[in-house]
Amino acid sequence: MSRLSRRSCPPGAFFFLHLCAAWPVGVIGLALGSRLIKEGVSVQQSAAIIAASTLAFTLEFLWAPMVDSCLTRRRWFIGGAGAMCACLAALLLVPLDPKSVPLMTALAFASSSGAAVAAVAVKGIMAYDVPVAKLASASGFYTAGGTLAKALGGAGTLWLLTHDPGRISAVSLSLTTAALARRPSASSRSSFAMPSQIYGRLSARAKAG
Amino acid sequence: MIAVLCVIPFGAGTEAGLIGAIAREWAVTPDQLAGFSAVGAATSIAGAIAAGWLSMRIGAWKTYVLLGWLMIAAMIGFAFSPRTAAYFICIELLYRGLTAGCYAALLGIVMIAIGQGAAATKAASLWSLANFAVAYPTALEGAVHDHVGTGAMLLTDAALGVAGFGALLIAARLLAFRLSSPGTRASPRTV
Repeated sequence: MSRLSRRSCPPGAFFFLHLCAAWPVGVIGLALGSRLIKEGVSVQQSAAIIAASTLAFTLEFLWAPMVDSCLTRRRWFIGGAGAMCACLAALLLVPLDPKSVPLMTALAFASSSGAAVAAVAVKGIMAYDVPVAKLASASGFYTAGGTLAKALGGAGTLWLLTHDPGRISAVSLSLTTAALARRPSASSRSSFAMPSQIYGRLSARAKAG
Repeated sequence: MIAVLCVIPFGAGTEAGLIGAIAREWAVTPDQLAGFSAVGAATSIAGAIAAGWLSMRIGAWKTYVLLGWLMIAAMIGFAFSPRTAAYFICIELLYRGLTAGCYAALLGIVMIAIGQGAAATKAASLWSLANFAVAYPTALEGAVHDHVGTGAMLLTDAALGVAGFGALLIAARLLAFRLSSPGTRASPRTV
C-alpha cells in the first residue's frame, strides 16, 4: 500500500490538535497578564512575559527543521505539548509577584516553545496525512481550533484564577494531559473523543471538589 | 509567490488589533466590549470553518480573494457608518469572521503549495512571514489614527488591502503565476 493511499486524517481532527497547541496564547496573553497587573506587577514586566511567549511562536521556523529531520511528528507533538503542559502548570504555581518575573518569563517562553513545536508538528501532520482535496477544510478547522484555544484558554483561566486560585494548575494540567491521552497522528476518528475526555475529567474534579 | 502572499496586507485583518482604541468613538461600553470578545471568538470560529467549506467548493484562492474584498468593503462601510454601538458590534463581528476565514484560506493555499518535502519547515517559515502582514500595517494605521483620525485609519486599512491585492496581481504577472483554485502548488508532492 502506498503512502498516499494510507492518508486518512479527518480534517476536523485539526480543530482539537491546534486547540491544544495554541492554549498558552490565551492563558499567558489574557489571563496571566490581567492577573499580574492585579497583583501589583508593573505593565512593563507583564508585557515582557507576554513578549517572551510571543517570541517563542515567532521563532517557530527555528524549531521546524528539527521536526522534519528526526523522530516522528506524533512524538514531537506529544513532546511539545507535554513540555507546554509542564511549564504552564509551573507558571501557574509560581507566586504572582514582581520577584518572580524572571522565572515567569522563562517559563512563559518554555511553555510557548513547547506549543510552537507541537504546532509545527500539527502542520506537518496536515501536509502528510490529509488528502489534497481536504487540505482547505483542514486549514479551516485548524484556524478555528486556535481561535477557540485563545478565547477559552484566556477567559477560562482568568475565571479560574479569580474564583478558584488553588485549582487552576490542576485543571490546566488535566486539560492538556487529556488532549495528550489521544493519539495525535489522527490516523483515525479517535481524536474526536478528546472533548468528552476533558469534560469527564473536569466533571470528576468538580465532584471531588 | 506564496511568500509574497504571506507578507501583503490583503486579508490580514489588521483593524481587529486596534478595536480597543476606537471602540469609545462608537459609544461602546467596557461591558459590551467584553461581551463582544466572547461572541467575536464564536464568529471567528464560524468564519474559519465556513471558509474551509467554501475553499473545498470554489478553491482556496477564490475564497481568499472573495473574503479579502469583503473585508475591504466592510472597512469602507465602517468608516462611514453611524457612530453607534450596534453598528460597531455588527461590523466588527462580520470583520472578525471574515478575518478568520481569510486566514484559513491562506493556510489552505500555503499547505497545498508546499507539498510534502520538509513540509513542517516550509509551513512554519511561510507562516512566520505572515506576521509581517499584520505588524507593519498596524504601526501605519496607528500613526494615521493619531494624526488624522479614526475614519482615515479605517480607509487606510481598506486602501492597504487594495494595494496588497495590486501587489499580488503584479507578482503573479511577473512570476507568470495563475491564481487558480485547488491543487496549485509549487512542486509535486513527493513521499
